[in-house]
Amino acid sequence: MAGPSGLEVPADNGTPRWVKVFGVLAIIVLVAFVILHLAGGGPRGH
Amino acid sequence: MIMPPLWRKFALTAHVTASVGWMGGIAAFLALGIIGVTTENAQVARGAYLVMEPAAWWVLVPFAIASLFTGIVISLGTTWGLFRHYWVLFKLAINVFATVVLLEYMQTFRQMAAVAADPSATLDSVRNPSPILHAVLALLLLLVATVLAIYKPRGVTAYGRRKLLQHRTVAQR
Repeated sequence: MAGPSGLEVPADNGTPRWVKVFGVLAIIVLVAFVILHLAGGGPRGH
Repeated sequence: MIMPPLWRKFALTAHVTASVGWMGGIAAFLALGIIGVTTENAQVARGAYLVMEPAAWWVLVPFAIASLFTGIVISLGTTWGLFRHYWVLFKLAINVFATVVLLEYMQTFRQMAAVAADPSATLDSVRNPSPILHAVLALLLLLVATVLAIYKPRGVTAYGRRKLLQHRTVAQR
C-alpha cells in the first residue's frame, strides 16, 4: 500500500501489473458500452 | 491546496455517505427490476417500472453526482491528488463512467415507464430485464471502486512522479 505522505519517488519506473490489467478491463467495458448503448443493442435497453 | 484535517474528515464523510447511498439505491433498483420481471401481479409489475424514473432522479442521480463531486474535492484537497496515483485515477474513471451511463439511462427509465403506463400494453411488453443487468454491472463497478479505495494499490502516474520530484527538490532547498 502506498502512503499519502510518502514523498519518496518509487524506484520502479514501470507501470504496475494491476494497472495494465485494469486498463485492459476498462477498454473491454468501454467497447461493451458502445456496442450495447450507442449501437442500440442489449436486452431491450433502448 | 491541502485541506485542514477537520475539513478533510468532513469531505470524506460526505463522500462515503454519498457513495454508500448510491450503492444502496442501486441495490433497491435491482430489487425493483427483479420484482418487475418475476411478479405475477400486473399492477405491481407496472408500478415497479413506473416508480423507477422518479426514484432515479431523487436518489441515484443526486448520490452519483455527490459522490463524484466529493471524491474530486477530497483528492484535490489531500496529498493523494487527482492524477497522481493510478488507484485514484481509476476511481475517478469509474465514477465518471457510471454517472454518464446513469444519466444516459434516464431515457430508458422514461421509455419503460411510458410502456408500463399504457393500459393496452401486455405484461410481457412491460417486463424488461435491462434494469437488472444495469444494476448488477453498476454494483460491480462500485464494488471495484470500493476495493480500490480501501486497498489503495501501489502505482504512481508519470504526472505524480514529476510532482514528487518537484516536492523533493523544493524540500531540499
